[in-house]
Amino acid sequence: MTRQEKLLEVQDLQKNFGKKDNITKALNGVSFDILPGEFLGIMGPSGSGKTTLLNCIATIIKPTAGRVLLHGKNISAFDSKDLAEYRGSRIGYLFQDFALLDNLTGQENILLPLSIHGVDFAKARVKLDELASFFEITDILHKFPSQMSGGQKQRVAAARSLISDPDIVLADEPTGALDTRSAKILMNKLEGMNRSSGKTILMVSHDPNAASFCSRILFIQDGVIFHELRRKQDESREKFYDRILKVLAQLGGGSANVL
Amino acid sequence: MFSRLIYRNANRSRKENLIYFATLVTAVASFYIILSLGRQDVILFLKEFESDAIDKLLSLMPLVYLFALLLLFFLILFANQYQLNRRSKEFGLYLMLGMRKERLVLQLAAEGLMTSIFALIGGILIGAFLAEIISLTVSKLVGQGIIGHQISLSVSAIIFTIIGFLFIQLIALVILGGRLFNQEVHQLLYEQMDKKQDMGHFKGNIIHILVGIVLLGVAYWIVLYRFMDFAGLLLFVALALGCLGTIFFMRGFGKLFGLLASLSEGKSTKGLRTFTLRQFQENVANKSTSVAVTSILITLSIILITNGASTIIGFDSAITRTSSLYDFTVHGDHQKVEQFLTSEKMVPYVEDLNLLEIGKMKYKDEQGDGNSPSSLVDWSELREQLIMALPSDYKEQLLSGEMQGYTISSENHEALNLLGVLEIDAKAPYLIPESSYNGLLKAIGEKSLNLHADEIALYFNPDLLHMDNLERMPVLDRILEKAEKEGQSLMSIQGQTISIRPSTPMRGLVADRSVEIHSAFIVPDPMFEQFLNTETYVSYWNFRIPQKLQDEQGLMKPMMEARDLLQSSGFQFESYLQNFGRQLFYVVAGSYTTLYVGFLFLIIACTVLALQFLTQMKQTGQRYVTLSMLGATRKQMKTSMHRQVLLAFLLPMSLACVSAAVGIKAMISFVVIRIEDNAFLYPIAFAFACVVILIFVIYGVAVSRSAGHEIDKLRWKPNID
Ligand SMILES: Nc1ncnc2c1ncn2[C@@H]1O[C@H](COP(=O)(O)OP(=O)(O)OP(=O)(O)O)[C@@H](O)[C@H]1O
Ligand SMILES: [Mg+2]
Repeated sequence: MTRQEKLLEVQDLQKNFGKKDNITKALNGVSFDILPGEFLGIMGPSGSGKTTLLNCIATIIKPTAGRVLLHGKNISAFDSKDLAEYRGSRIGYLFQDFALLDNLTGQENILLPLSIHGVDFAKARVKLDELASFFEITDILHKFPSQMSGGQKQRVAAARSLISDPDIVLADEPTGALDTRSAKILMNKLEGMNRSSGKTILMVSHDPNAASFCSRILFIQDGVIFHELRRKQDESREKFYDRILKVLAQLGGGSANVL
Repeated sequence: MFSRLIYRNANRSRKENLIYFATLVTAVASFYIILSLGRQDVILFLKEFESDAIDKLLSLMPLVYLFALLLLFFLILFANQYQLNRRSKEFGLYLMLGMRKERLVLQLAAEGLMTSIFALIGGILIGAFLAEIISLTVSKLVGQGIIGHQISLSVSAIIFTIIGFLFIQLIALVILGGRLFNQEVHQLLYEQMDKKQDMGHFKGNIIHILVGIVLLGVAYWIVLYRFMDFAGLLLFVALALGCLGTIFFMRGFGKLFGLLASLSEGKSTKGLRTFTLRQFQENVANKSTSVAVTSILITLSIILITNGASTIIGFDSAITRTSSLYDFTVHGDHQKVEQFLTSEKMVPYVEDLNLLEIGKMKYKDEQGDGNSPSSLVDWSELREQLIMALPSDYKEQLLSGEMQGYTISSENHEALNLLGVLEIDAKAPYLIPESSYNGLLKAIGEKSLNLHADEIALYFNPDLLHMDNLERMPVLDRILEKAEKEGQSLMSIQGQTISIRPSTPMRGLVADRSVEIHSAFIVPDPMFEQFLNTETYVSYWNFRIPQKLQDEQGLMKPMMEARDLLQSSGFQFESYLQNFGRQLFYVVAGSYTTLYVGFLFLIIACTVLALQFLTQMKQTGQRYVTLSMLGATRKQMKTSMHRQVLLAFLLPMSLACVSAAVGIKAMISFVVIRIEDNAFLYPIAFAFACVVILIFVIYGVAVSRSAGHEIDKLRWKPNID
């Protein structure tokens, strides 16, 4: 595999919080690659550094050491102006709490990244309609978030994360605030997106059910990757789910008991 | 430890919340200014001449003070509420950590006291400084160099300022503290803006806006065309309608605006435009009533400030001596007064000494038909001519007998005023001997009248008739000249035809107002003797301060010296100083209070707008975090925020400008305020407009900076779940 083919490279990422005498090594040398079209999951016990890892990739926090390369470019060393250009356009985000602006309609929320980056709306019209019908939110485009259900909100948020056709979508527990049914619908949609359009997705989740939609899962503990699961070709989701549970059980069980 | 916390919190709230602190300081300063009014140079000066009126004015000041106290109480309540809301999370935490509520409230009270003390120090310093500046400016501007300057610092004003301010601060904190006391910890920790997005129905919005526009329209119509009906009672109706209309308009506008935003959505998505509009809409729609109230306050403040400013502008024209000629008028025994005024010590101050004799004309000896004595004067021809000269609508009214009574006004046609005056006066007119009036004419450098034995001249008081031109009365002169040419006689006295001399220059007869007459006949001296009703005879000695002395020392100084001399002489006298003082008093009384209340309204409106904006900013701070996650730069967010500030201030301001323009127009046309074209008009109007705009800009900038600070502070804090 040549270097060019890798979408994202995480190289020996370290992140320390706190000062010398009271230091927390949230990430302690994490390295992995993401290939285009992958649906990568990250799992691990609470406090293992999952969010920190995602935030480093999302350029929300700066790593103490190590690099994050997107298309070979070290985005962790970008200044704020370059970052603003990347955020929302090359990187899409999906949050546990949706992070929709509650004084904008669904459509306005979805289009927000485009307007921020000064993209002409005419060009996005088709894309908007496409995403809206894919996520089944056409009817609620003109509603305000307060008038939507949680699942609808998250699907609007998902449409927003995809509107600018980013290279990668980062999702931190996107199903965390959803009930099982809504979570399943969302994961189906994300998986569909990944399958049909080859969208690359990096998702952090506690939920083995959600994680079972991924094509590969990294398990981290105490700031290091300690295991990796790959979904075999033609492996059913149920089987993959069982394998995930087994790994989680090895981890000390905490998270597996959630279900 | 506890006191350290109080001190640190008080310090912090001062630094972090400049607007809150500035509001407190403004409140203190405005209390001080109104309370120290009695120490202003102009007021001290006026006390010498118009002590009664000044006392009355000063006795009114406690009312203004109470009014200001009440207004600022609401402002302070609002400001404190804003401040507490900001910190509700912090309080929630204190309580979570086991602090008792009593203790928290106690701590708040202590912090409030600390902040109050700082606000008092700052406010009194600023207030004293402003009072000093106002005192100096006013005495320079209107005092013509005779008003001396004294430091205006007033201890009693300071004391009452402190008492008043602490009082309202205390009440505000008691109310808010009580509310805090009754809140659940959870409420404190997670207090959020009510998230409901009530967009209303399109129809409802249209109806709101329409109702608003109709109400405003009716209010404008009343103000413009029915200003004085029902003794001005309609004005209150207009005010009420205007307020209601503004509220409806804002309510409808806020929501409709959102619909407009959603209609335009998609057409142009450049930058944060949609976001900006939505933020603005939320601010207006959710707070439509208070936006409307600020709009009303701004309207009132613009009207009041214009009114106050126009009084100041009018001062110049009131004080320029167009018709007033003499500086002193002395009353008393003929010979003794003359002796005194020509004595050695007075001579340097006396020029154009002239005796004014005046008295009423006798009636016919025999009684008329009724009980009222009949007049010697027959002016029916002149009356006829004046009626012919009237504008046609008045002519009809008069001839059909519809018109009853006259009002003399500067708005009236000249002929109407003359008719009105003569109708009352001509029965037993005042008589002035030609020799008296010649002395006056000589003083202004005009030729003597040299009346024939059967000739008179008509005198009209230029002050009471509001004459534009003192040298001519166009309508009257035309009638008189025509009669002269055609040999027609317009008047007879005791059956003898009399000709009337046209184009007599008119001036004030005395220095101030010992002779308040509308009209008089200037008659040859023999005729004066012949027709005078001796019971009504009075005489005055008039004189002026010599021009040379005025050139050397200015008018005021020699005038004050002459006044002192006359005062010691024991004669009754009046001087132009009284006239000046009275005019000055009207200006001061009229402008001080209106300007004060006007600026108070303005500041309150601005503060409410500012705090409201910052509250929204604080409560929706998370949105900016999301925006930055989606790639918005700080610059973009700040641009959006600046636009929001601009819109938030411009919306109430624009409606206020329209309403105020209507109000001012009405006040001009009904001469509540008189805008005369004079040299002062533009600089003063400009200065006031600048001050108002400056206040807006200062608030706008302060809000932008605070909000910018909030944006700078935003850090995306990863949730540690
Ligand atoms: N801003 C911060 N300051 C200090 N320590 C932090 C900060 N963010 C995270 N940490 C620490 O870093 C470690 C990793 O935190 P992180 O949020 O990445 O965990 P996580 O895997 O997302 O846990 P969870 O499953 O509960 O979300 C934790 O020990 C946490 O206490
Ligand atoms: Mg996490």
